Amino acid sequence: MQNNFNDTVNELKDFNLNPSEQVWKEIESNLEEKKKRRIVAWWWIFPLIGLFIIPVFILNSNNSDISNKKKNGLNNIESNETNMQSAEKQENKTAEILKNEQSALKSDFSSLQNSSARVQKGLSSTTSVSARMQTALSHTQNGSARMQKRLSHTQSDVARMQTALSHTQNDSARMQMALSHTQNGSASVQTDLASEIIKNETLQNKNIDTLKQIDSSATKENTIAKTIKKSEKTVWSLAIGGGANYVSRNNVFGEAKTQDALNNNLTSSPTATSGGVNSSSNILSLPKTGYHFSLGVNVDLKLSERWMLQSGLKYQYLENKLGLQEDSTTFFPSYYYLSSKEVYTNYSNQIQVPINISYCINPQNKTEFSLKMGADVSWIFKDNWLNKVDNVYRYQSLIEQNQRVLIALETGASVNFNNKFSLSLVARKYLTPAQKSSSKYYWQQLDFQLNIPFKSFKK
Amino acid sequence: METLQLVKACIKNNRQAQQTLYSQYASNMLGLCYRYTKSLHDAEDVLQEGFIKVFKNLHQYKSDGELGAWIRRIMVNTALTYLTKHNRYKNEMNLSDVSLHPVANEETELKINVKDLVEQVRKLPASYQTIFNLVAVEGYSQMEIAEMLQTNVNTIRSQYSRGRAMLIKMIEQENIKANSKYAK
Repeated sequence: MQNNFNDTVNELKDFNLNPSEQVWKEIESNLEEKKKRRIVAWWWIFPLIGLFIIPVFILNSNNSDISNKKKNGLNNIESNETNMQSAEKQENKTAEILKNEQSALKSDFSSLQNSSARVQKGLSSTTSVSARMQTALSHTQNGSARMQKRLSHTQSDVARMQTALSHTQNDSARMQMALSHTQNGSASVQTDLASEIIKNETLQNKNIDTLKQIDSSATKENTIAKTIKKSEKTVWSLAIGGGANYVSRNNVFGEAKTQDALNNNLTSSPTATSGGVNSSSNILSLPKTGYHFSLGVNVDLKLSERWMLQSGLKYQYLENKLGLQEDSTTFFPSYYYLSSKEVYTNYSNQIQVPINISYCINPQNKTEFSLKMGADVSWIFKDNWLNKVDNVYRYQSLIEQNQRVLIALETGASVNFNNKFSLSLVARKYLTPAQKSSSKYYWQQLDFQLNIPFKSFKK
Repeated sequence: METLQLVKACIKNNRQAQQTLYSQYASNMLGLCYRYTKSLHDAEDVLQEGFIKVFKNLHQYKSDGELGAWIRRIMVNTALTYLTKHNRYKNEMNLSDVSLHPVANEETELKINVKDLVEQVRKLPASYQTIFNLVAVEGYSQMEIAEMLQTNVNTIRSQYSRGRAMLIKMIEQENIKANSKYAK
């Protein structure tokens, strides 16, 4: 049926369709699954509880079996004892009853005798007496039957008691056996333990010895290590050196006097102006080069992996040739100056103490390159500033004022070959002149040096 | 069996009672599911999922309300979840936040029966179909639907009016086709 659009929309709510049967089946199977899952979820608890309970139960039952048996044995003995006591009591009672009955019988019998005597007195009394007698007899019979029953009970109790006693005796015997086994076992264990203790003691003693040895070797190693460290830190070596000199100034002059002048004791110095040499005359020409060599001890103190402090003590021989020529500009005509060019050899013997700091460029290598710089302090202990040649004394005018201690700066580089030896090249410039006079005399040196560590000689 | 007794039996997992409850509401609920989906198979899937939820959550049902309405609500929620979960609906259900201008609802004198209307509704794009069902049939407010579909009210409003307009147009076209057939 067709309706208006809006009405039909309102009817949509009631639109029905029949689902297939499969839908319910699937819903049902889903619900079943959940139910099963729930059951399964709860059922696992019971086996788990069982798993916990069963071992506990078994342990308890094992432990309690023996104690229960013992307890039962003891209880049986106690109950048997009480039974026996009660049976004895009952026996006593029965005996008493019997005695009473006997006495009653006796009295009855006596009364019967009396009554028989008095038979004639009345049949009724006789019959009553006999009846009482019969009842008494039946009582006695009953009592004896009960007694017999109780006796049999007591006997069976006694038999049970005996079996219980035998069980207990067996148990005690077994216990004693077990005790003896245990004692034997403990004895053997004790002997084993004693032997083990002895073994352990010997082992401990050995260990102590070994430890002592280790300690002593360790201390030795430590001392060796310290020595090695120290020796590695400080290296003493033989220093052999040599090289060329160069004189920085050329206004060194030589002063000469004739014998007469010396005899006349003309001590006043010619005081050559500008160092006694008139440079304008251009007549003085001096060879400036010379040589030197040195020998000494060098010590290297390692400050870090790269930095090193170097020092030592050296003897140095230094020689320089100086050329002297006539100086016509002097104001003292009485003096005869050298008339011709003459070579004057100047030498000095020095003790040197160098102090250098060195930086290694490539440490931990077989061949190590280093740069170094420092200073030298030299003490001149012998020189030839006053010489006599061909009866003419030549001397430095102010010889007394000569420097005896000289200071020089130096810089250079060195190569160390696998700690076996090292070579260095150093340029040295003297800061103090060789003399204090106005004509100053400075040395400059180029010095090669070979250092051989003393430990290399030992090897 | 009274509804309350039936519910109690179902909660106790009584299979008979569960089947009774199912058979009472299954056909109407399948009709609902059918309106939200594109195939009968999908509708039956929704129905199955919905009833499993019903039996699972029946203890939450409060006896003061009507059971049919409660089940209906569960079915609608299940259908919406199904639509957003499955790929063949997912793309069509993508409701953009940008609201389209709503189309004015025109009063129409169209004549149509329920079955045809259901089929026409199912031909709408999934988003129009869903919103039309929620607004026009279930009677949810646009605010409620916006919350359910996690979008804004304006989107719902425009989608509903556009869906409704499309539906009317489709019905008109069908009517024209039918009339031309009769004329021939």
